[in-house]
Amino acid sequence: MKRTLFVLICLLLILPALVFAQSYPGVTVTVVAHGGHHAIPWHGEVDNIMQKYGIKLNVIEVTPDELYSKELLELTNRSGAYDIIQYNSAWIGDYEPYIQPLDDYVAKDKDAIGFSDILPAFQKAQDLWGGKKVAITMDGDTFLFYYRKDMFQDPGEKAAFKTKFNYDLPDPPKTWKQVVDLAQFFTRKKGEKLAGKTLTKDFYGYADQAKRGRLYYWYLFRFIPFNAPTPQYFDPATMAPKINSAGAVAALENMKELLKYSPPGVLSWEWDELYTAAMKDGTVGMWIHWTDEGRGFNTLAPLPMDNPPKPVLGISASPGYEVGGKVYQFTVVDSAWVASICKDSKNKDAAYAVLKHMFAPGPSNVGYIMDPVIGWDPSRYSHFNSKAWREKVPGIENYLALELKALESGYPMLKIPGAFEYNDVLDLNVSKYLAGEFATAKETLDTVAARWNELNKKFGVEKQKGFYAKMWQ
Amino acid sequence: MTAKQRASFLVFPTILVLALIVIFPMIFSISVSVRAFDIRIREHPFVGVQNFIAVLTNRDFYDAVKVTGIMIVAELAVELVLGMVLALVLMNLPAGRKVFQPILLFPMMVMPVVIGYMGRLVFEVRSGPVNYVLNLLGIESLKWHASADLALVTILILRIWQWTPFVVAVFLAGLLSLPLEPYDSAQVDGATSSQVFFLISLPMLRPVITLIVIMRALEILQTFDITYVLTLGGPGVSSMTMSLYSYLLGFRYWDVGQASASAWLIMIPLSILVTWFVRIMQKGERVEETR
Repeated sequence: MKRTLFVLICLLLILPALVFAQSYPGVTVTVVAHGGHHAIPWHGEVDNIMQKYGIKLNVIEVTPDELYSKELLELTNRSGAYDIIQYNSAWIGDYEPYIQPLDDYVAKDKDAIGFSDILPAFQKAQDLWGGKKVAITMDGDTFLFYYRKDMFQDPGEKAAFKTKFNYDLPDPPKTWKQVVDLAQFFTRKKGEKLAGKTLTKDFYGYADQAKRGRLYYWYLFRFIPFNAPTPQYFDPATMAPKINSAGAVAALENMKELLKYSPPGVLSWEWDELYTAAMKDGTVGMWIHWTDEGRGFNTLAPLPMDNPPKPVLGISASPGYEVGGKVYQFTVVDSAWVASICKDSKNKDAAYAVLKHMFAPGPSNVGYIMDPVIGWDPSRYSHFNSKAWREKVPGIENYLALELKALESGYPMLKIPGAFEYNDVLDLNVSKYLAGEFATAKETLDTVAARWNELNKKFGVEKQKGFYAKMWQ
Repeated sequence: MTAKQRASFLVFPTILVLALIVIFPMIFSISVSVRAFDIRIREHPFVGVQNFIAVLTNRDFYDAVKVTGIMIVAELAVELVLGMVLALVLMNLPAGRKVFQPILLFPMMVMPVVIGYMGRLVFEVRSGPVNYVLNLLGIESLKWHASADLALVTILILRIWQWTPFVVAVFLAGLLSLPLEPYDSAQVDGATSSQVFFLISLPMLRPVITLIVIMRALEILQTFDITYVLTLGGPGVSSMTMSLYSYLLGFRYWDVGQASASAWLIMIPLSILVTWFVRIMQKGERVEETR
């Protein structure tokens, strides 16, 4: 009896220690992260991770410009210097041999990391590669179509639009053809009337972020739907570029057409210029941008007029293209930041524990997503359905619901090796066309296709074909 | 140890350092330029002159050469004239010199990246102060860096603002160091101010001009930061400089082989041009001395 009691007491004493024992005492996990705001959550969890797992989290910040080269150098040298890497999912083709698939981990602990909590659009565009789970989305970057709903809802404007174009003012526009009509309709000079009031500034129907460098995104927003119903960057069977298809040419012509209704100087516009003109100056009617506007819906400036209506930001999926009576709309999912475990890590299990701590559904993860300073956009159902976010920012539910809906038709960016070159070649030539250096859209895109073929040859056509297939699996 | 051996021994560290920091990178760069060198591909096979041919058959390379050439000629011309005028003004205003000299150097202290961002604000088409002033004068807004025609002009304005003070400073130092005797003689002979300038000051400043031209030409050739921030070479390739072109090849497309080839393709003719210019100036100096 005494012996049984003794054993029981010993067990009671040991049990808490067993339950609350740190799983990886003394282990150091090194994470290389995008420097600055993106690194805040990693630093913020250093103490918690130490307490919970006994893991010393070593955060190395690298500027985004250098991230690719530094990581690739370490990975190809198989130095095992990093356990976790943050990278742009477009680089997966280059990183693949050095990345640890997460399937076994996810299966082993019954998806405690919440892979299935990540929206399918992000899983497909960022985390899956060749059918394997290779990464966890950190930043659910995507693009949304924004418009001045306050202006669209004005009865006078609605009636005038119907008289001019013989169809109801579309709210929101579903096709790029409608966007052209709307942009033409709403572009007005200072002194003219808009929504029954006199404009105090020139007003423009539409604007792209058309500075050389990231201009290709705004072309792809058109290229993808204009090649509906099954848009492709390449022919999957031959890797022949589809970038100069008839749809692609029409998409580029649409882009140039809309320049007529864009603010002067739009060819020099980067993020700041478009955001400021649209959200702070209130002089742009429609535009496509990242989710910053949606998150900051309540900061939209009123229309430039005396006694303007209450500003209302409209949000929707990007306009599409009509094929056989059906409109196909796509939401381009940016190849944004993800985290993976390095194959050469000596502490893979500990690294997975860190990933789970950082990204599994829960208040900590949602907290970082809600904080606009961090720059991590929502990517999980637990983010989009967050009660805490709704309580903290009244009215945010509209943006969350509309983005969730828009992401039902998510479309990935190119992810094969050399994705940056393919996109930059496109960017350069589209910029040349908009600047008048190419006479026709066809000539422009034939040039791009020729360069894409050269890049295919450089990386190996068969290899690229394999990577392109993996992108969709 | 003989004196010659001792001299060689003492010079050896300098040669070693030079070899490490100048000669080795140059040889490595030549070696890279004749190989298919992409950091993502493990093999870097020898390809002979293929990288050079690839660069020479790319239209964008010629556009970059053209843009850089225009920049060197236009920027140098404006900076030399403006720099000389300002230096002469300061030369004749000893009191003002003390005040303006430090102020003039301020633009040189600003980082080019900052100037690029400043340019984005100052030349913004709709809200920039430059167009605001033009509008006040009854002139329509210009599209500046948003237009293929004016992007390079915008960059030139910013660069001239930044670098003219340097030219002023060097000219001023040159003018202050000139001997006074020729000026006294000219005064006695009744020479006009323009005669004094063109026949005395300018010829005596020949070494200074040579120095400015070489230093500025080489710096202009490296124009990168402002262009990167302000236009990234665009719209199209209207403001694509050689260094930006090489950067994109090497650090965006990771084609280090072609990037090295393009660097050599621009360095060789430039070295010839600089040597030719120096010789012409030296020849002029010798003619002046024998007069």
